[in-house]
Amino acid sequence: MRKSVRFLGLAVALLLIGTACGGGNDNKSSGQAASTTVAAATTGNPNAELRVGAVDDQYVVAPTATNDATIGVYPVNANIVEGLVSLSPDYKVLPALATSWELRPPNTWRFHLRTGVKFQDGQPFNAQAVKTGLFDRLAKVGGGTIKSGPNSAVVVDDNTIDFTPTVPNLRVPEQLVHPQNEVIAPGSDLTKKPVGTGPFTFVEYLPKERIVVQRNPDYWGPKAKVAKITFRFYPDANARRLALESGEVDAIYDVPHQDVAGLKSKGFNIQTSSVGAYDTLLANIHGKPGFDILSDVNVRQAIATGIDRNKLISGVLDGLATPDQTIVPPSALAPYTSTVKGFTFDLNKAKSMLDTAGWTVGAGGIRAKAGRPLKLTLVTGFPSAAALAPIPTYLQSAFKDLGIDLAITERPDSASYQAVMAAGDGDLFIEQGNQNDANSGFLPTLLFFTGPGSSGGGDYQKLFAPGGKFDELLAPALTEPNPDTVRKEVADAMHEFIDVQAVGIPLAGVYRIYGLSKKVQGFVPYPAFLHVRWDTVSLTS
Amino acid sequence: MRRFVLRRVLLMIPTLFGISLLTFGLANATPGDPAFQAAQRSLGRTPTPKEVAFERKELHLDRPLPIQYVDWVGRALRGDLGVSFATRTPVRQELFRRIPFTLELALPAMALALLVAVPAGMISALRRNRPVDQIVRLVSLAGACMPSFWLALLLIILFSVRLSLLPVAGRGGLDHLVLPVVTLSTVPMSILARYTRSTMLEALGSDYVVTARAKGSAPWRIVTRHVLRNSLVPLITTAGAQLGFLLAGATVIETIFVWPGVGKLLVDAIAARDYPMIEGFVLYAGVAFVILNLVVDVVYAAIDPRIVVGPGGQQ
Amino acid sequence: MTAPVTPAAVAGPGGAVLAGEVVVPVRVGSRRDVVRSLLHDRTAVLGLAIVTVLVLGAVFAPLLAHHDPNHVDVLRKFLPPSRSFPLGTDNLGRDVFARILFGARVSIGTAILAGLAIGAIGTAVGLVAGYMGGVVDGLIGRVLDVLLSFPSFLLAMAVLGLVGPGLKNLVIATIAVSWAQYGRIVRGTVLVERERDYVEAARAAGASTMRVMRRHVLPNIVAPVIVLITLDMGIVLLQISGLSFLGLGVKPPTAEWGAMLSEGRNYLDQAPQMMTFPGAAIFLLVLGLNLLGDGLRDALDPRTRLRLAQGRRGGRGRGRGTPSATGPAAPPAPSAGAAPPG
Repeated sequence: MRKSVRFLGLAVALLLIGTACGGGNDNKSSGQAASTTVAAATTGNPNAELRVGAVDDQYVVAPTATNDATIGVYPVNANIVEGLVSLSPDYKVLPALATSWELRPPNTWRFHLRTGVKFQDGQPFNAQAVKTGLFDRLAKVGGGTIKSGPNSAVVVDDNTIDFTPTVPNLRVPEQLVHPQNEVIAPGSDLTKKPVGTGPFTFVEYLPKERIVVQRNPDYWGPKAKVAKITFRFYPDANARRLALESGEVDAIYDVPHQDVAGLKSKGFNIQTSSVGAYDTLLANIHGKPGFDILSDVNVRQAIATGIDRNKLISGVLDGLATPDQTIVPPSALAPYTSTVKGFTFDLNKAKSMLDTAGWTVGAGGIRAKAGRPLKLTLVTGFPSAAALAPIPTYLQSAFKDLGIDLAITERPDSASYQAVMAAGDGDLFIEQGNQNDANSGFLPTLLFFTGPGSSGGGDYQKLFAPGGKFDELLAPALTEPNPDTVRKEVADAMHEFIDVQAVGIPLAGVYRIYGLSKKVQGFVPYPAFLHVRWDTVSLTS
Repeated sequence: MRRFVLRRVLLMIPTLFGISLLTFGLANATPGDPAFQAAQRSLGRTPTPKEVAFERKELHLDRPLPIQYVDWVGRALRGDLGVSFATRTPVRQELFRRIPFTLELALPAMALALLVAVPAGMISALRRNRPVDQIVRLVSLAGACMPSFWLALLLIILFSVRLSLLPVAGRGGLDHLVLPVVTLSTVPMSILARYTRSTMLEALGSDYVVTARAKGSAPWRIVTRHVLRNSLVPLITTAGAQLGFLLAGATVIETIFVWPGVGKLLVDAIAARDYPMIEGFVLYAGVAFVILNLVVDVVYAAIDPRIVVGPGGQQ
Repeated sequence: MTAPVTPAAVAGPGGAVLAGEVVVPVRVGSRRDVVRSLLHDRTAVLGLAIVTVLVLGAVFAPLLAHHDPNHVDVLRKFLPPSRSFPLGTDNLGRDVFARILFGARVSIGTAILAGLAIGAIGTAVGLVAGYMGGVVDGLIGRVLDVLLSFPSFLLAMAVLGLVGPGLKNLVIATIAVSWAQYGRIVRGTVLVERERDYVEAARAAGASTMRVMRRHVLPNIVAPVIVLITLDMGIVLLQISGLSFLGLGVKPPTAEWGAMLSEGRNYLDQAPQMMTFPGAAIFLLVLGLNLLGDGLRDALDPRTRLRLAQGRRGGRGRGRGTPSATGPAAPPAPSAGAAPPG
């Protein structure tokens, strides 16, 4: 009862532990130790087990009308299955299970298959297997991105197959790189044990916990350099980073930008990909009453001009992003990247643009027009609110300087984010999207296109589709056989979407950051997680 | 005794009925149209009115509420709690798969709490106001006031990051258990230590101890023969009740330590707006706690026949 | 500190179960006695001091803080504590000290609001159940059984999961799942009060049921309920900050301790102050509330008060030697569903 001093002492002691634990770091010695290890050992240990800290487990374990199961496939690709083609880190389509392919006009694709390949369960890989394990499988779940129908696939001979999508689709090879368009062994059950032709075979999957694969000794290509890989799921980026630091895993996906410098200083190898994703704002231009301010292009242009992207990148994103404003990754648009200009920050110009648009500074520094305050709602949550934080808070503060009162609606994940979009309850939507296939027009076509052959009235189209000239510019890309021409057309459409209409207000180009211990060799950083290859990776002991 | 148990079991029925009503009511309190959301989730896009209508029929949402309720209870009794929006697996299957993981933390945490708290509380009581008593009281007070999420982070920084002794997170070998179990046990440990101390003090002051003392029994003999036996009884039942609250604490601990138990299941389900999973969780947790309370009451009554009043019973 | 702790209390996620056991609230003695004995209890005084400092910090936040808690300046992020930023800055260059102070307003404010609402609803329902008896009591009893069969934290989480996160929903969910405990305690007390002479007298004088409940029974149970709420405020605070930590509470950029802690765990290396100080603030406030609550209980319990007096007179050595004078109130039956001793 009378030991008040001791209670106080305890409280102080606990505080000290807390502060001391989190205090500055001095790990130089461990960094040096790590680099000497690297010098000593350069060859991998073929019996090694690689442990990888992956992002959240989002495998779909039961197929639906429009989605097949994705265990071991997407978004964490355990390299069990393969497609006819694969994607290079710079968005080029590479041969995989197909050695070559050609378009047979008007709308048929002929694939010449690799010979001497076996599935992991011993079944032979041939045209019939591709028909069953890829095209017919996709036809059963709505056709997938490539629009496969029940009669789309025709076996020409054992090593040749023709594919005719249900609608004209000249982007088939570019789309086939997506891991969900993989070839699975006929009769194998994706919901339990995926069987493919890949460099690793399935061992076990414990939902929300881990997926384990082992080397496929009969792989047709160079054999995997480690015996086994355990992918552990860490939805929390911080836990993932700490797992790498404490040696629980050898490599992690998606290092939080704030931890890059710290990991480097502790001797970890940080690898960054080319830009394959983007942070962007999308302006609701077809808003219902209450969310209709941004139907005025001048306000959108003012907002786009009033964002200091350099400060955002250096201050908030720790310099680990690029000032690209193309939304579609620059490498996927090359050589027409410069067609999309983007916006140059100019606070005073932005302010005067708002003045011109009739929004003049009112009470408390917030602009108003005809008594209505300039109050906007920003919705965040794609792919998750955590992935984008703290950008919304930064924007809120930056918008205040413009005289805009920005409210934030936070949704934890993409499904709930999209629900807000479906309801139309927002002026601005912030998202981090990823270019996952080689089709440069994939994203604008899927999300913003309302012209002929479009997927129609999706949530994105309802809020953001500019229509008119944008659709005119993009429409030919759907039926254009030459990928280079497609890139030009998409670049022109994105110029309209961003520079002219300011529907898309890009914030930054985003690249993927991987963290590796010094023992990990041969890793190639891909701009999309789902394309990462692990068969080239070795582990020194 | 038999009458007491029977009465207690009968009293469970209205409680279980209430829990089912509560769960059903909560399920119907979710904003938005459940058929629309289910359709949206299973299609991965905004459904057409036709698809929503189909889903409504599929989920039996087109019938009057009372019939929906009866239907729902009937299915729940057969173990059918619907299908998770997020994983598309049956809710029951997922719940049952995760329960062992939580017990993997909760049972050792309870054991650890008892192993430390009981001796500490006893020593504290026997050495009342001596330094050891002060320390036990200090630590148990601090432990009970400590936000467990804060403690977990402090322990991670110290033992995983600084000293590299223990894994940061995830399920694996025994070493993976240490930090989550220690964190989880802190609160019940503190409470049980305080509880042990006060019951011991009470027992030490009771007539029979005073008598035994007067008869000249050795102090340790008094403690083991009289005090301990009398204090342990309520203690064990206390621990039983604490186990229920451990499961609540597990939500935070499992989230921080990326432990795939039911607590994390609930947190994930909330983040994913996985309504069938949340509802299934509420229903099962309610039933589980009702049964746990029943067991605790019966055990207590069996040990101490003076207790014959059930919850809510009239005095 | 010697007060019994029972499992009937509801564990917050964050932890504490200190008070809240099924105690029949004692009749409050003369106010001067209570204050005097409280002031003689040094740990209670310490608790009072901690709580007072934090509450004053919240009240005078605009005067004490040098900076706007929401002002973002990314050029000054992760600054260590300094004269201008006593607790350093966070990942957006916001002043952690200012955010702790303004966060106290949200954290303490919601705890008080929730605590009062829980007490009011619990009192009203318990009063009606206890006084009316019969079918009404039976029905209310079943509702209480249902609510009390869950740990309130779990139920609050589930409710938030279904109705959606947010500070307002968080407070409502906390109230909705936590009042039942008080309902049961008040009901037990009213059962005792109902049989007392003054109630009989009022009834005999022809007062209506409503009037007897409101004008006669209520004033006699209000004070003990207030004490109980004070005792439990720490638990409410832990519960709210725990839910906030899980991301079910405030929206950015609002400062709130649980949410700040949650944000801070991403920056353990760069800015430990983002995690340590909000955690310390929660810990200290809960500690203070508990010390104060224990002291209050001791001060209000005549038996304890007697013991205190003896202890002071007799000195520590002799106090220990007389075990018959030690006992705090006997711990009640441990079941989570145990009835209040009548």
